[in-house]
Amino acid sequence: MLCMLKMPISIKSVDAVCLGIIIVAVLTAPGCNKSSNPASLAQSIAEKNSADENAAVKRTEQITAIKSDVEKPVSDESAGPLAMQASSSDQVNSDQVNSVEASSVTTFPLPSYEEMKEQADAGKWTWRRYVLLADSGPILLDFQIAIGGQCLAKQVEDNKNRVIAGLIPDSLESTTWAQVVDSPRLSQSVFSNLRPTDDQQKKDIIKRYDIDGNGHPSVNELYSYLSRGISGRNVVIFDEANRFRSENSDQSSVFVQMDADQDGILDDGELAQCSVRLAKLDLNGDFIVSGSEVRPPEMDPQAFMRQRNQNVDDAFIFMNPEDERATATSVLRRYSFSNAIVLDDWPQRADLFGLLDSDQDGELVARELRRIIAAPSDMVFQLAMPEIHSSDATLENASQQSTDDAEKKRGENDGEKAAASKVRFRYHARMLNQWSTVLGNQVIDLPNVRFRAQLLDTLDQENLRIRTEQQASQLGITPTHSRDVEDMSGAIQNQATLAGLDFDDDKKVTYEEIEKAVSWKAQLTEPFVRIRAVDPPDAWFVWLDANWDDLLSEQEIANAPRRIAQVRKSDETTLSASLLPMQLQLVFTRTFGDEQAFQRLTPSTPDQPNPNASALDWFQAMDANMDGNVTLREFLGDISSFEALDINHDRILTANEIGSGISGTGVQQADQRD
Amino acid sequence: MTRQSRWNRVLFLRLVVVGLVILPADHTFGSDEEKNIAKDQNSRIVEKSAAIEMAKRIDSFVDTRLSEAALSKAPNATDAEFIRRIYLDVTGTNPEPSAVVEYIQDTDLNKRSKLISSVVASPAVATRLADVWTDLLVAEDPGQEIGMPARESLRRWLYRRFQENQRYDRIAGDLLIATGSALDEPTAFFTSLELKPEKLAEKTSRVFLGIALDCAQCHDHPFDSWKQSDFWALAAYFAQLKSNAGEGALNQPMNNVSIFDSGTGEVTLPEKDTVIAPRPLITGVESSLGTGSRRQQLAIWITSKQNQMFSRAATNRIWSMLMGRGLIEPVDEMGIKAEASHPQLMDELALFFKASDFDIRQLITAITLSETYARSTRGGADNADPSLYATMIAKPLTARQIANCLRQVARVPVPVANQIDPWQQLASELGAMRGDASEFTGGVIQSLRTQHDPKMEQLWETSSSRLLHALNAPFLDSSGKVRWMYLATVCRPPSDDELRILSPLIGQSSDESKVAEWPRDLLWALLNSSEFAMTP
Repeated sequence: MLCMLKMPISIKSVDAVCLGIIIVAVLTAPGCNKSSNPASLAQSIAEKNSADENAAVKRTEQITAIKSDVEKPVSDESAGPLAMQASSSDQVNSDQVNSVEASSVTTFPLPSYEEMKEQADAGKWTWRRYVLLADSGPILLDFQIAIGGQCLAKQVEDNKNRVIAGLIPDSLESTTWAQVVDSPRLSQSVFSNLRPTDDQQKKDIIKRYDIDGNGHPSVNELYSYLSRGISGRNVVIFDEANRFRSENSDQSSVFVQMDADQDGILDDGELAQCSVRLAKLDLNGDFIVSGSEVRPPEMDPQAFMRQRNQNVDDAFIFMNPEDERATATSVLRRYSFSNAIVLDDWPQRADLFGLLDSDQDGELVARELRRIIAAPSDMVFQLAMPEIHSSDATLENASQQSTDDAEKKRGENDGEKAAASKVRFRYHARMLNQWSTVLGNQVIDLPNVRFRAQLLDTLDQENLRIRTEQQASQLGITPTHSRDVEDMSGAIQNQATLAGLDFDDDKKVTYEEIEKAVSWKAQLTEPFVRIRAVDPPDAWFVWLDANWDDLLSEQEIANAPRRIAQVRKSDETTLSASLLPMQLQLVFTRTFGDEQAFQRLTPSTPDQPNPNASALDWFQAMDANMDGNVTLREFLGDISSFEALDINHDRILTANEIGSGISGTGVQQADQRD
Repeated sequence: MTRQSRWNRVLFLRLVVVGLVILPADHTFGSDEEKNIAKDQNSRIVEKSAAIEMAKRIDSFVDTRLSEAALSKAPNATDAEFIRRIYLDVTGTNPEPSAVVEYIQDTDLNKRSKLISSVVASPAVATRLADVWTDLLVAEDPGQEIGMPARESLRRWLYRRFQENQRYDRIAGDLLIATGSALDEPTAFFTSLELKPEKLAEKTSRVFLGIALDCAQCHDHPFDSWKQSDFWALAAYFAQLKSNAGEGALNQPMNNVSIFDSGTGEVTLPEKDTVIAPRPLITGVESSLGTGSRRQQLAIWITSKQNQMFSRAATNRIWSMLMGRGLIEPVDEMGIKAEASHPQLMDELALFFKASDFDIRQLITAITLSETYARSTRGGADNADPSLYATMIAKPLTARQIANCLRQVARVPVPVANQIDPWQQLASELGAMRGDASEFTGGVIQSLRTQHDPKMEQLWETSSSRLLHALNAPFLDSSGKVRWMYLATVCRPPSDDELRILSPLIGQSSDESKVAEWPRDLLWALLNSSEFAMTP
């Protein structure tokens, strides 16, 4: 089992409608055989260190160690979201992840159930516990979600106060409702869905919320207005399950494609040719290999839900503290056809088994399984999102705070470094824009920025008009103000999105429906975090998809040999499919308001000649492929400038790194000559 | 001014072909066996040593001619010139600025060879080749001959095959025998020409054999040895091609018709009743007709290894694509009487191509590895015959190259399938002004259009230009902005002279409005320069 906690999480691109985060927990290090998995690695290490001890003794020691971990006090810093922010300063790249030393795996004082619950109750974060019912045994996952150092509900409340303060520059009496609804402050964070887009909306808002009709807002009226579209309940939604990589990763279509002679290993010759062969996976000829071209067809959503409802083997279950019995029943039915689970049912979780098997009879019955709700976590995902700032000063302050945190972290003593080395899991995390939009009551995930641009381009009324008038004959579009859903399927391949656009279900998308779709802002009923847990069906694809946009671009295809070489051991000339580390991919999506929210409020930077340019404007413009990141190839500037901004040295610049880089001292003004 | 005059003088790339080809008598396209063979060929690794030897032979032949003419050679191109040249020639677009800097700063003595290997192996080569052959096979103007979807379908078909580095003879053969609809087959080639045997014969001979036969359609060729009967004998191979749609529906957009070989149909000489039977253009090459449709017989004959015209036409076309003119000019008039500027080189290069199993990437590697290809466009003997290659010919960009370069400056991704590419649209419109949408020409009208077109203005207007926004990065001072603007447009750092001229503009003006406008003005100047529109 891997060893270090790695949580380089913070906001990456604050101009986004939604914030998405992917965390990959590398559960099996490269080089481990296929039977290895999270728990087995720790076990195998223990076995290696005490080879002459019998199995019973080993297991007893493990259980003892785990129990002692549970009893260890956990400092706020190691467990809380702030600790996660601080840890971002020592991010590692994937190479480092893969080179984890097994000796540092042994113990890690993950917070106990009680500890986490206590801190969650204290409002430090929103907390949820899930159990991942993996084939080799359950894995307990805890999610701590904090925004701006607080749980979501508190953050929302604070935001309300701050926004109200911003909306009322002088006094309530001197402020009119018209000023309020026009205020750019309403673009902040979760409130951005409240800003009206036209005069009619303004009138409607004033009519509804100016309760006393005096034209001036009161605190209560403002609270009522600002609370219209938000709620702090149930912010975590599980989205997906049962999509785990087959044990036989040789079946990876990406690997099979690269393995020209189909002997199950890649040799040097195949490595050299892998880019050419990968490009053959481009089935639709758009010169990009997308995930959908690699993966098997996804199940029809309705069929998926039907199966999910019938299938107790869901990969994820929410562990409801109020209903331990339900949790225990689900776990029992997942792993056993009888009324008890034996150790063989959990081949990789001897540690957890021993912990739960209170009567030491070698069986776990429902009564014992109920204790799983309070068992120590196997992983803690601490998800801390900085808030979106509403004033010129706050962005600067946040950057400064981030720098201070990083310096504080660097200044900590060796003892803490030693403690960090005991962390049981290391998480390789990277931020990613995960665009979403809301159509009716549905939330539609837009797979990537490119897709979103494509959608908006297609939806754009002016563009549609042009197409209708000038290119109707080429595109076969009837020159009316509607398009058949089928017609649009060529341009928008996400059928769910199409279905979402077709509000009246008449199989046609009209201008009115398009307008309704793009003016969805008032329909967002609550902020939420969506989580998708996926052990990628084709992990090789994910491995090669360096920027995590679910597309293999030309650059990524060209870089495939180098990327694959990272998996291969230095003393080997070939590699097999199973060498790729098993990955658990968690995608978090947090929905805010409209995409212009940040743009409208981003402060100008005096150093920039263009007064309209935002602090991140240049970064976004450098992002030529619009994937949210800037690679060295896209970068305009010397390598020294790039390296100064690339805080985690992964050769990819993120908006978060740019924010830190600007406020720091690493980037010099002058560009150096050859 | 020298560049401008050259700009006006240079002939536009005419990527049309001529040649004759061949394959074994038992060759059948599309069978499982063929697919297996093709699969093996996908894993072919370019024999670089053979390419290096061929490159030396190229230099030897060219240098001999130069010595005979007592002409001096131009010096080698600068690093910046070379990297832009090979990227534009081989991938169809400019290199990223960082790649230019990296190459310039690379001190490895073998860096040119490394660059060539890397670029030729790039998937973008397939894009470039697919673009070139699509333009050859179907006209660009979608309203006139073929709808955009069908054209794109053909382009994708070609792209996949070039991406797999399939043998060129197999690509040509598969294309010539295509049946079905444009959804999964390259039938757009046939439907764009309305299945008319005379049009198909003319285009087939031009593209795959390098012969312009159109004169022989109405009468015997006035300058070559082709007879009218030769033309119609070639046309007869397409006489049995039919579709499931009416004649008028063939060129209707989005009309995805299927084509097939009916087994009946003949051609006659114009205004006569004389039925002409299918017959290969040249004698001495066994057509191995036997069984199969007429088109299959034609494909076997054209791509036969005995048919020297096929390999010569393709070789000449690739040479022209890279060197700015063919060893035989024009590239689609390689008739029996046509003479190559370097006859022996023409023969050896065609043999090399054939020996490599018609591997286009290997052919490109050999040519680009030569010192001849690496020459500068400046220096060398004045007024030397361009066919002697004393100096590299500066090539005007094609419409697609222009579109790619403009998109790069716009810093937007390549549109996904079925999306209209506004930059391609603009470049095609500019090309269409001169009659060929696949070419971009630098006439007065085009210049006026590029200087004032609203779409172009987005590239340099301060509010909309993503490049200018990117250059607002806090780590770039004024000189840094200038440098990276040059790198992002003409792929080189500014010269000292240019910096001297620019310095009063960018830093010392007391007029604030001028200070704010200089990036826009400089970008406008660079994008409208002849340097931007030419391959160095």
